[in-house]
Amino acid sequence: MSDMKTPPEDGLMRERFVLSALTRHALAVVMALCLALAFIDLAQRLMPALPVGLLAGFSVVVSIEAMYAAHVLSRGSVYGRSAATYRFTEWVVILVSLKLALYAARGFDQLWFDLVAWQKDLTLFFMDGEYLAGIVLMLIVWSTSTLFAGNLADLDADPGALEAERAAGVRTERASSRQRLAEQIFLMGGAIVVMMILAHVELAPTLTGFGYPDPISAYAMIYFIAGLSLLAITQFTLLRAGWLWDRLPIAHGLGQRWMLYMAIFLGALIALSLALPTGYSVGLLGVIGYLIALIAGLIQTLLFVLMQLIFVIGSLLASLFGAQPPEAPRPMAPPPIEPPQLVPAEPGAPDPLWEILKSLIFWAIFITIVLYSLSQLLQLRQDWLAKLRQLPGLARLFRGWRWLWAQLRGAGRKLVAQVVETVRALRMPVMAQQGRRPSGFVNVRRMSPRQQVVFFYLALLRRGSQQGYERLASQTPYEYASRLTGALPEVSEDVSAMTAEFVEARYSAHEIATSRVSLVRRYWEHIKAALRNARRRS
Amino acid sequence: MLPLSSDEVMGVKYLYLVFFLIVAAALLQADAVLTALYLLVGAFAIGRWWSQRAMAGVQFKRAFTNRVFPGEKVPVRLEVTNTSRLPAIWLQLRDSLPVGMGISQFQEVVFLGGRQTRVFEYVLQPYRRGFYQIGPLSLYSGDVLGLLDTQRREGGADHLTVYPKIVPLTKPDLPSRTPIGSLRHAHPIYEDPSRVFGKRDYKVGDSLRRVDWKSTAALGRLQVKQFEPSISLETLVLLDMCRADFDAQRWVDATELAVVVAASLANWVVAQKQSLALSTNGKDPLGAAAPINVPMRKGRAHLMRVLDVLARIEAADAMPCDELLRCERPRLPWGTTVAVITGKVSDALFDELFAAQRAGVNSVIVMCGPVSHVSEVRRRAHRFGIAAYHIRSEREMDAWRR
Repeated sequence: MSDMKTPPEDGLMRERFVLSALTRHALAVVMALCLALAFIDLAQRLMPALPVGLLAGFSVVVSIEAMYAAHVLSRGSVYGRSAATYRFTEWVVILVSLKLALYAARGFDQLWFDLVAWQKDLTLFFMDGEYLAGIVLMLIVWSTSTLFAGNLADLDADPGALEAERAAGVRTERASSRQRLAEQIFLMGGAIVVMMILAHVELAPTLTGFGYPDPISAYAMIYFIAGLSLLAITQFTLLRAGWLWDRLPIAHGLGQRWMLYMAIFLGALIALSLALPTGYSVGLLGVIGYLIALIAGLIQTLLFVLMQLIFVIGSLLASLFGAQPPEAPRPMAPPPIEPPQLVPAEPGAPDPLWEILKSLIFWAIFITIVLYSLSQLLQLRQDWLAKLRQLPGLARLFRGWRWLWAQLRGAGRKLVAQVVETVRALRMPVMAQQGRRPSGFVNVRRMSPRQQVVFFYLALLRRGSQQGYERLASQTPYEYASRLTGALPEVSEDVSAMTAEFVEARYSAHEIATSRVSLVRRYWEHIKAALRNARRRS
Repeated sequence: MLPLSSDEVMGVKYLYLVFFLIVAAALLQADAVLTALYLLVGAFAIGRWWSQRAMAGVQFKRAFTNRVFPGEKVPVRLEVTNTSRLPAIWLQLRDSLPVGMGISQFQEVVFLGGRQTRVFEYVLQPYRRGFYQIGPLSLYSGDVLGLLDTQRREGGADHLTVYPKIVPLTKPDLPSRTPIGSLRHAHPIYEDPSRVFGKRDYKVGDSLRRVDWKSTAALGRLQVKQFEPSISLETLVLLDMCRADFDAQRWVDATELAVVVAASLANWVVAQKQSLALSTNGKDPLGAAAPINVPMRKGRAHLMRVLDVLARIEAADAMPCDELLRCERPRLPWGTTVAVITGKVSDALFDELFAAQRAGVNSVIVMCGPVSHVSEVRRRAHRFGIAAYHIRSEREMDAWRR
């Protein structure tokens, strides 16, 4: 309780808010830059003379400017001008600056030559290829940044703004702003992936193997990491706004811990993503074939060993009766299991088995990812699942899958139960020798309400028998209750009520409410105290 | 089909991107695409697994004094433990509380580290008797990225019994005909041979059994023992909680007053070391079938049982008071005093009271709240030899305190 604080009102909170807003905007700038760099990299393949550094720097400036402009326009302080005028001016400045920046990269001497050319045909000579590419790039960066800024501005949970919202009784729909922001992140991510595909297709003829280190991939990775970070931070912003709106006390330092664990989470994810295999030498069918061959080889080896054993026993028996051992055809030794051919065959590959293992891991992960994503999507889109189930062929497939799954689960449970039983059976004699009881801890909270009621009643029987009120095998619960009531009149009501609860839990089919358990626990505590008092008295 | 929440929509779109990457990875077999795929799927799957594991590992324990009187402060200690090694990055706790506890609900947003326990405390101050449910505790948590819906888990609830208010009485004037008890009485007919309070000279007509031979020998003249009259007051408090028997507009206050009167009488009877029983036609939230009977017994522990019932009992559309008395009458021993606490005295109730009177049971009528024709009821009660009281507010119980 000591580290709780009520909705903030101090300057420190305001500083943190500004810092958090700056972090969000910085991440958005990074993402816009990644998108710009990917675009520049792609465009550079068509126009090798494109000034990469200049355009990247200009993109950062435009991104920051777009965000600032969105902020200014959202506050309505445009120095008296209308938003359209502001935007027009903004774009004139961007376009002129871009042109000047390109001339700065080429050298301003070019400008004097071009001035002559512009007098001949302005459209043709002013709008050259580089400038057009630059305009498209700036348009992408500007629109992306403006959209990011708009959604981030809607998400902002400035304490002062929240107070104003609460006073007006109007709550900003921050969740939908975050949803829009996430959709934008995913869409831009998709765009970067498309650029990766285009770059890959464009580069494919020149590739000699997998894993060509194209810069777009690096930009894509940075983009996704920044995107995930932004999602995590905006999730905290959204939750925090809700808590502040509801005036909930928030634990001190929750924001810092959020950032810390987000960093750990993303760091671990990046490490894992980089550690997992991304290439394969054997195709999926090759891996499956190898697995089948491996299993068949193992079975064949087992059979071989078995036959050898039978043959040895037969020979021994024959020699015992003085007869010559029959000339039984010796079973053939299993052929060695050859690893499949690597596709494509890599010259100087270190170890074919290691390559197969890597391929095996890769395909296992890939198939798991596909199935997991599909199952998650179907879990979220229940309407799709319902429609799929209505399809005749798929309905049979679902039924079959359900049957197979039930069989597998049943078999798994039986196997686990059998293993547990075997382990217990193995442990029991040892424990009996040591005079120990099994150290199994019963966690009542993990039991169902019905089991908990039965548990407390059994505890009553056990404690009762220790105090000399043992339940006879012939006694019904009610008979035992009347006996116990006679011995402990002060808890007669509790005993009767607890017995009734037990009978209901034990013999009814309907669900037992959780509230009943707390009542039974209460009865049991009263009875336990009465039993303890009775022991003291005696 | 329920529409998807905003988090679910986000999750769906995230998975679309994942599928796009899967297709791209299958087509291109490029390292970067696969790494990005691992990153995105890992973020989704590990984030989900983490939040679910952390949430499942949270356990809590609520501790408080579960029986109090109105106005007492009840400190509640809520101990929340994360049994998992994974931290719950955010956990919103909400303990639902009933109305009339001083606070409407307890809420906190906390960080709970792996294997960490945190203790929260809040104070309840109930001002009305009742059987209250404290909780259930709702826990909310979610993944760091917010791609999935907020998870919610509900814990168990506990109960708080708030006893009715007890007005300390000194002289409630309950009649009794049961001789030989622990209560001193003015009428010499109830002389108790176990309570000798003095000796006097023998007079003609005195029973020889009262002669104190030791004193006679010492003084040289016949001395007889003088016994103090005493009675035993076995009391049945018959509490009418039938809603129809109270004023239609003020039945809530009237029934509450009736409960206070019953509790005060019960307390007085037990303080006098007399036997007490309770019978009521009210509704018990624990589900005990009406009528509810607490058998005749003595002692503080028995009083607490009676108060437990009085704390829980609620007015209901139950059997009328006369029927309740008809059910109880055959079980009452001769000389018992029945204190009928009701809001309306009907002809049928008078008939039952008269029948009880004839069976040797003493009766007292206590009318609570606004009652019509009080003087008429008093006159009829007087005719039957039954004491009748009308209490409109707790202040009017002062008559029994002087």
